[in-house]
Amino acid sequence: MKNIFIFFCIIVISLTFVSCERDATVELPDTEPKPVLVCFISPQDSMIRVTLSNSRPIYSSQKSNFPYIIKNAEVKISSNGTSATIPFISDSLGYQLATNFFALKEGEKYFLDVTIPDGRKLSASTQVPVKKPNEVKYKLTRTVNDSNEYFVDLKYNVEISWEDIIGEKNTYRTIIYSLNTTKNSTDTSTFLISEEYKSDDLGDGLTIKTNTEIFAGYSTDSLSGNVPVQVGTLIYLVNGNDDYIKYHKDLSRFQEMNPFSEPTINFSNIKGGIGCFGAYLMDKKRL
Amino acid sequence: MLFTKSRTFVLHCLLLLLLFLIHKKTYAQSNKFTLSGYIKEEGSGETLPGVGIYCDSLKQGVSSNHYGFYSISLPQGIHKLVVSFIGFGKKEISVELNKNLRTDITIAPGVQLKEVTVNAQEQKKVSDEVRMSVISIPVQQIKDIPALLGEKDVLKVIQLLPGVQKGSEGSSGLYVRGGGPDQNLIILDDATVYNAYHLFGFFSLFNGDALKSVELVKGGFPSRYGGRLSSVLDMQMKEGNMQKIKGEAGVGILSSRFMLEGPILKNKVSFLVSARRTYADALVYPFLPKSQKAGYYFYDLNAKINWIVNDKNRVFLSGYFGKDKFYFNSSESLAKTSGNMQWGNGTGTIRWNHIYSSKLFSNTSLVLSDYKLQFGIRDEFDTTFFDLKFKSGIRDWTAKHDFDFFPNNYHHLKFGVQTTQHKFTPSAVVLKANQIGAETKVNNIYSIESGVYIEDDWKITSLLRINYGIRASFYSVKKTNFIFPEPRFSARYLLNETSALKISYAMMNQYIHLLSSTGVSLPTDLWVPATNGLKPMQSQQFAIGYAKDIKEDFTLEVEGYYKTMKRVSFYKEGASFLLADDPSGAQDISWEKNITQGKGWSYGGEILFKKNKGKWTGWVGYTLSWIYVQFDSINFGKKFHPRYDRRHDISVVNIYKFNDNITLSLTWVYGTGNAITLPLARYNAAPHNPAAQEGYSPQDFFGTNTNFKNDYGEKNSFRMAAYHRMDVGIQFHKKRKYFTRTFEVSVYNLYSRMNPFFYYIEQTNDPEKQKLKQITLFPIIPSVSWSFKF
Repeated sequence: MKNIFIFFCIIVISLTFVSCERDATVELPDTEPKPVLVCFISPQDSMIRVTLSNSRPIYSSQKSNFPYIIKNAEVKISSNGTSATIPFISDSLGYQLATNFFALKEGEKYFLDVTIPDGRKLSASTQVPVKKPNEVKYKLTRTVNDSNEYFVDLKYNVEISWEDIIGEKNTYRTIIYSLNTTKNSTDTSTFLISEEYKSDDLGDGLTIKTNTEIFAGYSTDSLSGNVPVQVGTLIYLVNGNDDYIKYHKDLSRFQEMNPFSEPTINFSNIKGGIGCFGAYLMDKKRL
Repeated sequence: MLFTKSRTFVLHCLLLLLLFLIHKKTYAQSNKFTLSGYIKEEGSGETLPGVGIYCDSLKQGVSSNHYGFYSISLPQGIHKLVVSFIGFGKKEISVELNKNLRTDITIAPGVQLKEVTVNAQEQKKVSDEVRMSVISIPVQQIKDIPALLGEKDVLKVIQLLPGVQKGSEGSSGLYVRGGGPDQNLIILDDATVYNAYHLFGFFSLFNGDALKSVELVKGGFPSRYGGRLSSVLDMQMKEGNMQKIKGEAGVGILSSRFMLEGPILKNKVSFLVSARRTYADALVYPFLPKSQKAGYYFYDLNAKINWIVNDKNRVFLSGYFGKDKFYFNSSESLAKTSGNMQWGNGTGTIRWNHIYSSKLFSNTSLVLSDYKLQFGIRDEFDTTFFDLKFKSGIRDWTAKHDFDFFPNNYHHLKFGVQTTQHKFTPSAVVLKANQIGAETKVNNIYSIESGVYIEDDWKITSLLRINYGIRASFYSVKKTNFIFPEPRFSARYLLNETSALKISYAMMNQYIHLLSSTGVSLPTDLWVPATNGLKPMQSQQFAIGYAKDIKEDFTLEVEGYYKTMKRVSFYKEGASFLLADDPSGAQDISWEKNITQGKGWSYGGEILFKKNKGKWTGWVGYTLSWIYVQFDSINFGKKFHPRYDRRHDISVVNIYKFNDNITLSLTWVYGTGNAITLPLARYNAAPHNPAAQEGYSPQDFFGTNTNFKNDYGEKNSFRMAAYHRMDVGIQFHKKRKYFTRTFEVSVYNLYSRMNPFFYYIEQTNDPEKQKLKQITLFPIIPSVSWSFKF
């Protein structure tokens, strides 16, 4: 009896620890690539920029017929009877048009129409916000927690406050970057430190504040000239329209590495495809 | 306005009741007397609910109530009564009535015999029962059906019934007629049990050795039940053998258990205690290095004392305590780290049964129910330390007073009142460290939930019987109050001696929500109250059914239902069941912001064909159902199937008793795959990057970054592979002089079907190619167990 018991224990443990991982035995959907259009416009920008690409189906064999970047589409922007074609710029792998040729105005509604030679068509519309954030104040406090010959341990406190725009429902996106360079270079690079969303739920026209605590540090290893050094902090306060905000909130919400997170079907306002055509006005500061 | 209308409606009902009682009292002045008392099991003295007492000459009968009390009114004279109950032999008694008489009746368990004899097991006629969508599960059957790792599980047996589905492989969660696992009221001796699972939902915490009865109500809810939308699982513990000491014990692959019951004072005071614990950690612990210890265990403890004070009064004291715990300790030189995750339930019930008269019986209960979850981690180095504890839970204090009134043989009235104080702790964080001292952030929410109800089981004619009633439920949290009337109705019409047509309607309200990741029962599933921002859920369910008794051995029940649900809760897209990555900030996270509310619809049909007598017993159950939900902020407001929507669900259960020594059981289950959201493609969902746009990051002139995300199809539009599995078990019983031992060999998933638990995408060596992979939890798993009883 005892031997049978031990034998079964061994069998159970062995079988249980077999990982039971295998290819899924289920019919997989064979989807076609979808055109992806991303464009954010603002009267404050000197350029209108459009990226157009194909999604890469995971299970399909059809993706080889669809290039990643779509280079030969006809992209048109229009508003109030006027329109302009946005050409493809091969160096930049995207479509670009200076606003000298097609001016953007606050409060106006704009339409994007895209025709791809393979017959697929996309369209989208968006409306530029009327006002940018008012009375914006920035404050950066930098504290050194610890430092030695190899490492500097820093803490930042970034405070932003502004007056909410009266008469409309607003959600603001605040983005903070660390601006870095290396000892042996004058080129800069940025590192996203914080991205937050604040709305005027507590009251229209009130002062809104954010207070972001950032722990950062850097190596002071003088043997390598490629050690990144922080030279500034870039802060952007964006008053995005609904399309802009919904798209970015969905991107920031979904935690792909968290198996217990609900899958997010990302916002899209592109008919015939996916992506976002949004608009914004913003305030910015370098500290 | 709603409150005023509801109050008026309730007052009208109470007035009608009063008029009815006056009428019936007048009627009762004629020459009739009442025979009343308790129905008990011979040998143990356990009271038996639902026992039929029938007078054939008058064609009248009654059933004993939930506590085993019966009351039957008969004309003066000598009467022959037949007492019958499922699983027990029929008993005939003769009584002479010339005054109200108190008589307790004992009946003996029946035996399975080839020939039908007086002692043959009685079977319940489904056509007689006025309630529909109710299933009583004989506790012995739970012990006969094979189970994962040999752990007999009452909730897993319930999942084998039509209309009840499980969430995922191995899970004990119940999804009843389209409702989620939070919509089931699970009661053990009047105490509500929250999170009724061990080991991440793989096992329930109910030890079958301690149970007397298990009843599942899926629809047509009587008025005495409230607080959940989809089902009531009412379990009663045994009371303890009043006459002699009895016990059971067993050892299995996962755990060991024992149960002991017996008299403290014969026929006056009895006790029951049962316990179960896993022991893998205890076996492995001595072999682990001293500096590194880790383990997991769970345990259950049930205890009960039953005191017959006198003829009119009985007092019960019962409790359940159970816990799961993961732990680890590590120490090296000056550094020590320890951590644990533990969760558990504790319930305590004091109950008093009082007989006012031969027609009026009452039960008064005071109940405590407590569920806690705790994470803890402590880090020490020399003299510095960091200690973080995160707790959440729910604690209820409940008082209830219920009456059973038997004015005559045509009416059985139940009425009563219940009130519960809930204390919710969605998060409580205690942080201690040298540098910061101690920080405590506790978030408690108190609420009151109450109900007043009245119902009547009325035999209108010999063919038509109805159960009608109303419940008024009240809820108060912070400064918000809710009150809802909940009408209930069910009816049975006998088409002939062996078949009946049934209909039912019930409205239910639920004032607490369960925040849970879909399809996986986790201890981190969180109970939170309805608030002004997260309103109570409500359901309405209509059902129609046909019940047929075929010969003496078989029953057939066919039902169709349609259920609508309002304000059901769901996690928003992107929300995680983990409230915060940084638990020290937990108080700042509002769980209400993680949740959205919407609507649900569920409809379908169920067939249950049972064989109840003979050497071979079992059933075949089939469910065809559809479930939809709709939330404005999910899936762009379009309706979709929840994960647990399974179009077809089949269960086949067979138990064959070769003889007294060998029992063979075999089950087979099939279910359509769960509905999930599968990634279909990857695409560059580039965000707006103003820093790059201004030239600070030269690598992306377009002011965007590459940011590849999944493109999903419609929410839950993909079906996982169908689930099916066969389990088999064989028990060898041997009756010895002082005890009977049972050795069981069982195999879970006999043909090792690789049912997927979840899918994930794997990148291959070709950057253009990915594969969909699946993880299976349980392939074929044999197990053995040994038990004895005396």
